[in-house]
Amino acid sequence: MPVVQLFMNAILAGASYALVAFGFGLIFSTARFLPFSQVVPYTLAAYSFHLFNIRLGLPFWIAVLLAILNAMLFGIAFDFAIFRTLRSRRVSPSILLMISLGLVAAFQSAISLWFGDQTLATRDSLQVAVYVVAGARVTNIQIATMLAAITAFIVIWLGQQKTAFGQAQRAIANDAELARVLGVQTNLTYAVVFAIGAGLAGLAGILAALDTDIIPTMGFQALVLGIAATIIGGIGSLPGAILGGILVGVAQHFGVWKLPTQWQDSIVFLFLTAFLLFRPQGVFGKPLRKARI
Amino acid sequence: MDYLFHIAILVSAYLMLATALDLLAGHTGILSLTQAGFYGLGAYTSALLTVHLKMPFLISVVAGMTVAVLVSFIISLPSLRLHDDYFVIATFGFQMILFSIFNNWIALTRGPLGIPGIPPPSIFGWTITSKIEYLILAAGFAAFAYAVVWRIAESPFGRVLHAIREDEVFAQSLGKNVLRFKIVAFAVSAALAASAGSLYAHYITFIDPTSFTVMESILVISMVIIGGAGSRWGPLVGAVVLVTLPEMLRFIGLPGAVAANLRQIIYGLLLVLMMMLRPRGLMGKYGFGR
Repeated sequence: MPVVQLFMNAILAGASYALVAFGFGLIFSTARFLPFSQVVPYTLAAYSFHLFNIRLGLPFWIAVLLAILNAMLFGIAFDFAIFRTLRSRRVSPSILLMISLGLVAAFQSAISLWFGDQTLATRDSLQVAVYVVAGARVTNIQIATMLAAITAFIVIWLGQQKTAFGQAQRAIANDAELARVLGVQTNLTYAVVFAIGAGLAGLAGILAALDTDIIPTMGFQALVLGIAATIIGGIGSLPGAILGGILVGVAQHFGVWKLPTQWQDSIVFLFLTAFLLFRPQGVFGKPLRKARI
Repeated sequence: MDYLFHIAILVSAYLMLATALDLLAGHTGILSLTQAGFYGLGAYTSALLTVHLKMPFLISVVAGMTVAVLVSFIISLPSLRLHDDYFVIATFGFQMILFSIFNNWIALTRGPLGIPGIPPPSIFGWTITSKIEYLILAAGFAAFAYAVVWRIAESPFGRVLHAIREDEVFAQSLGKNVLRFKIVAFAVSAALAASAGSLYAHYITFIDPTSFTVMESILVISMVIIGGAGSRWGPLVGAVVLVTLPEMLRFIGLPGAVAANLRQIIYGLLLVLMMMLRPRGLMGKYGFGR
């Protein structure tokens, strides 16, 4: 039953894209710029995990935890070193976007210099186990990705609705200036948002590293698909990120059912273009306006 | 001396790319990540035409520009009427698609193997054989691109582009068909980038997809921003700085791969530093994205 297998693959791939979309969407809706810099914590966590687990021989879960912490440190560093300074200067989002691009370029080359360009394997980190669910084969890593996405969704959802931080984040996402004036702890909230966003990207990166191998350019492919999931689902919407992830996964895997596999990402992108044509705000999102009156 | 000519030719090619992007980013205020894709379209189109169909060089250049313009319409028509952020994402995605086409459409482009044996350009009987002759051609191309963008910038058309950069909604409210202006600017930018690609392809006589990645687009953006977006000399300064600075690394005797990575680290960090300390770039009056 290839359809069931394809559908299962699609959903499990979608979970990975949803994780990236969570981080990207969270930072974008709060800080109001396109955080291409998310490539850095994604790749950083993957390489850190390899460093801790395979080169240094640390236990699996310790390595995972340290790698995610590493990614979150980057997020906080970005906030303190860059975002904080520029925020007080009221710079436009384009400048933050360009800084993100510069960071990605520098980081990718730094990784190439330090670790080399060859593919790093994670085969020794984890025993891959294959299960059969509803007639389709899934690996333990894919299940872990699914669980990670669902857990992240629940945690962020509850965090946004029930905690003070979440309320502060939603206030800033709605109107940052007003939130600051009304005494919302903007500095702290931004730091937490950047840390969580980077952590989510890092989590996605580690899961991807366990699933396939590690190369310096792994962040970009993931980011394109994560951005596609964010847009299709709707920017700033959590359920949208999940739905977007699933739709991207479906487009990717069902697309290559009939077409050669090297076009799978291009298919996703054409799907995204269709959305930009007819419904740019995505399924659940509010449209970005050029001017607000 | 030959080495200096080589650097000058590279600077010319990048000057064309930077000038083309400056028309979009500096004068119209739109950021695009597809420059490397158009660069590659020009390179591959003219290379394929001269290698397989034995077409004359100049015709292949025009063909490359035409292909780039048509592709630019595919990108711009759906996305330019949307918010800038959506457009950047659209250009990012299209850059990835174009790279995927260069890398995966093996039947046409030979994929990662690239296209070797691109013949030297021959214009009305004058076949270019030496580096100095190529430099003259390159300088001619660069001067053409620069003149095009400069004339546009100083013209009434350019004034509307500047108005769009300053306040798009306001320009629209004054009755300017903002979408049409942006589409034309994007198409011109694509055509100039493509012509740079043809120049590059026939100079190096071999092209492969790795020259046309999104990193290349970021490099061109760095040149425009560091030089100073929207200014007369900005793209030139940016191209000179970002081409020659890493070349100096060669003289320290580093191995090739290390030097290439260091180069990318340098321009990435330079971009970050510039944006933090002096957003208008070295020569610019206008801070990008105020």
